[in-house]
Amino acid sequence: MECSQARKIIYEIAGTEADIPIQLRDEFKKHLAVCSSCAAHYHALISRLEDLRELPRLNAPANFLENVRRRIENPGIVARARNSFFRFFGEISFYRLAATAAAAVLVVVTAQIALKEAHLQKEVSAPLPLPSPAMSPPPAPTESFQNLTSDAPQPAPPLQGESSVPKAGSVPKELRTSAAPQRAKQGAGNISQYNSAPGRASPPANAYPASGEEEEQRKTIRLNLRVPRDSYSLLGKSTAPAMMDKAKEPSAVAGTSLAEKSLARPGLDKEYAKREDRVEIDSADRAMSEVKSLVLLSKGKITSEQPVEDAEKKASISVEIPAQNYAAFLDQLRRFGEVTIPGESTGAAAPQAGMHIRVLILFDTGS
Amino acid sequence: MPDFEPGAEQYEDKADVAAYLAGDRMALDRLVVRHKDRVFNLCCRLLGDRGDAEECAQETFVKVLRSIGGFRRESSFSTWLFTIAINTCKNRRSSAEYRFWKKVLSFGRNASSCEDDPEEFEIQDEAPSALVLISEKERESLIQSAIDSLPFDFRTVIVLRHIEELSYDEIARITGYNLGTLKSKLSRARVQLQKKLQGA
Repeated sequence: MECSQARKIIYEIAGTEADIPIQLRDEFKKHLAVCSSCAAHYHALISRLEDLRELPRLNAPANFLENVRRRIENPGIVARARNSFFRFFGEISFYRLAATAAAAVLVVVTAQIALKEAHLQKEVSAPLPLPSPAMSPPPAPTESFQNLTSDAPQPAPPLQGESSVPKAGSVPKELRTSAAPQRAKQGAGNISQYNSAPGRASPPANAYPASGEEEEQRKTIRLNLRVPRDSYSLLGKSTAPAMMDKAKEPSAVAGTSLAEKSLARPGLDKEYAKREDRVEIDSADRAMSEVKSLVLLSKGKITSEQPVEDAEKKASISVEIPAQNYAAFLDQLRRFGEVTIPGESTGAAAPQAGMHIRVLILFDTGS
Repeated sequence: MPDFEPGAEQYEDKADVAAYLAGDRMALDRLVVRHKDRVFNLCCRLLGDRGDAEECAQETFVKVLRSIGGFRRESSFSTWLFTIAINTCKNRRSSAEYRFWKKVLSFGRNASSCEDDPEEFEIQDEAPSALVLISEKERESLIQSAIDSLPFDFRTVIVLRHIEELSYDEIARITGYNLGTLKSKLSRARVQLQKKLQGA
């Protein structure tokens, strides 16, 4: 055995000769007998290890057992919290914890969906305000008019550049007679109730006393009613902000020629130019009586009425028309002017049987 | 020398464990009394401080009490106890609190070393002279310092092999090393210890 080989195993052999193979141990001892350097190194290591073995045994303090008892009986706060934690979660299996967490998430999600649906149902079934008959009609400084919204899920498309329309299902259809510009300035009528501020659409002040089911049986459409440049005529007016603003423009007042109106809104005047069975009305009273007769003939009913008291005041009438007679009602109404429905070229909606069309007609007796 | 071979003490341990599990509270006291000095000595050699050693030894028995129901009796109670003690010391050394106080008290390190037991300074008539005692204390202090300078795994195998004088099989069972790893660690630990004690 060489010194390099002996130095490699010297630390393995030291103190553990019994675990070394006999042949290797004999060769190592033979090398130590002839190599003083390796022998001195080996004996020095053995001496150190003997020192380790001779280190005194240290005894535990006398009160060791009492201290252990005290720690067992009065564990610290951290130890108690740790024991409680493991005792609690150790008894609950992972699957029970996972099932509990999943159930909690399911309950939260279900509650959120239910609350959302209840909120939507509340919005849908909320009573619709209706303009008070006792209040005077709003100003109508335009010959073009339109109103309003639909109960259908999609709101009516904007008309002539309208960027905003009333909320679907919130505003009934309304018609209005034409008015002089000065009357529009006086208007504190129904339209003004619909719109608390110019250019802003808002629901009518009074509410329809209809239940949610009745709401579904009625359909509100937007109408554009245009009449010739007569002394008394019927006009519809939109509550849409853009149209309200436009209605106040001087060029939109009654008395403007049809050609001028056509230049302003050419798309609306095409049908008007073709109509020949127009009935000219010379007073608001007559217009109202004609419309009331038309309602009765259409098997509709008059829900409210604001008669004309003098030439300075506006008249209004709220009616409900059965859906099956609504087309004929519109045809007859066109005798007094032009009726258009925004977004529909035919000028009539396609209501379902059994439904009622709620219409608010405003009469504006311009000078 | 601890008796890790099947013997009277091991049978007593098994009987006390069974008695404690059956509800005999005094059985735990008997186990503590029987093993406290051995555990304390092991902790003191591993940690190099009497206070820390006492703390860890107590913690070892508290852990034994908590987990004695899971004692599988595949090994002897002493082996299981030593395993818990070594792990407790290892955790203690790695704790931030231990490292902090180790640095703070490093200036007066020898004041609380394991060899500073005041009882050992009692000089009796039959005892060697004071000079011899001081010399022995210095030697022990040097050896303990050399042990403390070793990495913990090297320290563990050195203490278990050359101070507690356990067999390779018992050390492998306690530490979890296989035999080859254990011999390699023990050899390298001896090399480092020899270097540390070269000038002593």
